[in-house]
Amino acid sequence: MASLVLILAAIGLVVAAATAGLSHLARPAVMGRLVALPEGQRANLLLLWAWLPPLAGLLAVAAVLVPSLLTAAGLMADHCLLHGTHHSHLCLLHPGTTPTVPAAGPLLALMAGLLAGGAAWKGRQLARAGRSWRTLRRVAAWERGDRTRILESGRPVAATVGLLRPTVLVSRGLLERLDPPQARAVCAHEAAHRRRRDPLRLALARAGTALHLPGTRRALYGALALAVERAADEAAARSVGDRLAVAEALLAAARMRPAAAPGPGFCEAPLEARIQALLADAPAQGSPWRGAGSALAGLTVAVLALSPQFHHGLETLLGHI
Amino acid sequence: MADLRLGDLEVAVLEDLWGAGADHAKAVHGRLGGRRGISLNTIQSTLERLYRKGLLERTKEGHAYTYAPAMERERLLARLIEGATAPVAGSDGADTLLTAFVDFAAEQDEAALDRLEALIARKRSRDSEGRG
Repeated sequence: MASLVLILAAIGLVVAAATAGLSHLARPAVMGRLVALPEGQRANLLLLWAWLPPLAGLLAVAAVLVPSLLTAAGLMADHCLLHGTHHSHLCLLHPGTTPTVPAAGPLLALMAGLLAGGAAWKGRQLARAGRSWRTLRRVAAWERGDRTRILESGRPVAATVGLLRPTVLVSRGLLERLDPPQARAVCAHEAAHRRRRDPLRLALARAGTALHLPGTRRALYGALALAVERAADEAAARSVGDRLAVAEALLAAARMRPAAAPGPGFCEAPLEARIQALLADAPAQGSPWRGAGSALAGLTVAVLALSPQFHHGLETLLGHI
Repeated sequence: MADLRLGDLEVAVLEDLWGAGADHAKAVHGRLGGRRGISLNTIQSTLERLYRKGLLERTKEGHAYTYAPAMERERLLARLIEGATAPVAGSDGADTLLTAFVDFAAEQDEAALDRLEALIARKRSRDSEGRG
């Protein structure tokens, strides 16, 4: 059984790596098309793309297992025994027919260990990043009970913090330096982040892009970060009823920033892109899951349809190794 | 200080002392202990932790310590905000679990901001002419 699991894991990894490679090659063309889409839809498609390598790996493993699962459910004849024993089989029901990999057990344990270690490291990194914000939220919690909390500080802060139950933190200092429509725009923008659970989206994208190549990882994350900000800007524009108030609030907040901080930071391009978009007419609104839903459904149908060929092709390939 | 972490009870004790000014553990326990169902010991160790973190000062009066906040709320908030936003500058903002209205860590380019301001103003005046 360890050999079968190891072979399945290897298939998943090879398909994930191939998907990451293809994503890298197709990136310029696909990014160009995504830019034209409404920001909510773009954000969802980018999140799906961030998860495409692990998703493709899992779908490949599922494709290999479909014949066994259909047999177990009584929907298909026991194909591996029908085929005879002229080559080995990737079969859950008859583990003895699987090719044997030497030292499969220790290899599998090593892979599982590496995976668990990587996940724990990433989890710790994320927890550490959120720690100071959680403390800030606690200190603010006593000032106002609802999910927008005012920080009694002169420093400019407007942020949405927390994964499952996000909270909006806005500082008194920021609100007092904006005129009322701009202050409403900031609050509406952050409320949109809270409703859309954007911190969770960003954390999910961060985890999903782990299997992408570094250049694609950065590009995907940057594009998603811009898309979620744009979606919140549009929501704020609709709520305040004045696109220019949102643009003015962005500019005013940008001018409040403390002097240049060390480190790479973002360049001005995202701010410029956001303001330019607000100066243009309101974009058409469509379903944000349009595209992402059909892409997932298409992938699943393709896996089911191609499963027998994929399954037997792999068995033949393994028979030659 | 950048890595300052405070639990719920620590924040509650700080809030209490911000209100009371200075007090000893028994008085703090009298105000918080019953409501939260916690012992005097727990309050004492929380006060001790906050003292070690530099958030409380203490003076010995008889056998007991009197604790007072070492900084006002606004100053603590400023330090927490600094601590929370600092990693954004160092890690390209990607590892934090928040979305900020604008990236406060990004470098300022006054010329670009002036240009954007002029664009907004032009659009604003065109819009009001269109309406007028």
